Amino acid sequence: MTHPVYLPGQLRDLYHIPAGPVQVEATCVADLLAALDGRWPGMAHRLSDAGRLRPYVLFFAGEERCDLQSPLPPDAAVRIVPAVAGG
Amino acid sequence: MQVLVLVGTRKGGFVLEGDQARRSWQLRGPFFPGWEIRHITHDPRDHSLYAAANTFTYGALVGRSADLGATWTHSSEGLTYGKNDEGPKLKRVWHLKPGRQAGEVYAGVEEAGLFHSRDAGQSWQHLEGLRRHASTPTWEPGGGGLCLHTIVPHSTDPLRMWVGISAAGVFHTADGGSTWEAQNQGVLAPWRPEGSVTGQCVHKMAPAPGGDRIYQQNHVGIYRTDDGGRTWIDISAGLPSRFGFCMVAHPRDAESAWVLPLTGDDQRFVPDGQVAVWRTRDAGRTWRRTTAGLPSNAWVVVLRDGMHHDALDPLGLYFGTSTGQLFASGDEGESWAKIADHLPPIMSVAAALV
Repeated sequence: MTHPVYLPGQLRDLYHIPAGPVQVEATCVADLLAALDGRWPGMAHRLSDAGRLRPYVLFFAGEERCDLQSPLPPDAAVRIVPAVAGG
Repeated sequence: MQVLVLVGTRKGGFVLEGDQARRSWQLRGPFFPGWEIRHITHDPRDHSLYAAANTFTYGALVGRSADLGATWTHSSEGLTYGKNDEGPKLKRVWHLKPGRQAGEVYAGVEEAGLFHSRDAGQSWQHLEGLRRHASTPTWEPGGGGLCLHTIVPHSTDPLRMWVGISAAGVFHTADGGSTWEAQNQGVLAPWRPEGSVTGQCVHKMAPAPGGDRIYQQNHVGIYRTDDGGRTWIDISAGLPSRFGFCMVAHPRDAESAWVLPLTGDDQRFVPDGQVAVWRTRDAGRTWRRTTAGLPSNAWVVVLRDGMHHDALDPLGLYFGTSTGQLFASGDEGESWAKIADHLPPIMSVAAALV
């Protein structure tokens, strides 16, 4: 199943990805990370480490918050939302 | 020939291109905008630049540029301690050092550890020997984190290297990193029981030419070793403070080194608001203050990687402040000029000839 994935701006800048969603085929968050990493090497490590999603990055499939093992509902848009904290 | 000053800041990296007279400078950047650039280093063999880039959101990576900073690739493959709930976490890359072979790079990280790449930073391997030292369970962080911030390869022996960890001390390997020995004899650590062999808070080390002489700026003093780290001599007398972060040694004159003292660890800015660089020409027996061209009423900090030198003669020196100013000297620190302003807080400065 293909999902539109909205990447955070700082990662789009890092990988020179134009604005707008990228289309990724995946059935769960883990697969989605693998697919992103296949297209943009190292992306998975920006979003996860040591088998877990990074603590300051949230994944949403539709309206539901996900973890690494979460399945992706059909047709759900995936939004990757970084922490707004900073300085 | 051109001088490059590589500036790592809290919000990205910058490159200043200078002429050989070191009077005219052009600023480029930021690259990795928004990323904390802890350190940028230059490999003189192929003029690669390597940048230690971190965010608390997306972790740590090492960037590489093959065109003097115009474009960058990046990787963090292998920059991890792996899956371990109770074990260390790799939070930042602090310091990078080219190795002896082309494409070889070392990375010092937080939580303190040493990583190694043989493919120009594309992939990394953890050199596990250091974290197997018996003292590892006792390592405690300084205010900036438990960081391996200094890597000093021996000038001629490929199996020898020193590293500095805040606040665990100086460690030395004589077998290429398989085993390590703490080398902190003579260095104060008043927060530790007397006689402690680790727990000293080394801030920066700078090697002098010759192999076995190293200068050290510590949390509580300035030191020199003449025997490869086995013993350290206190050379703080004559300086206004024992506290500071950066340390620079002359690459051709073993008797010369520079420090930038800060008030004690409860204030941590330049004494009396006067930026001053101090030089020794006699291996730390005496120190001379220089303020020519440096500001007063300037309550700034220069961090441990915030001062560096080029390789020209006379030697050029450069330092960057917590308030985003960059200063340069073309006469070995006798006089200074501001060459950049309004940068984000500067974390590191390095100079290269290309």
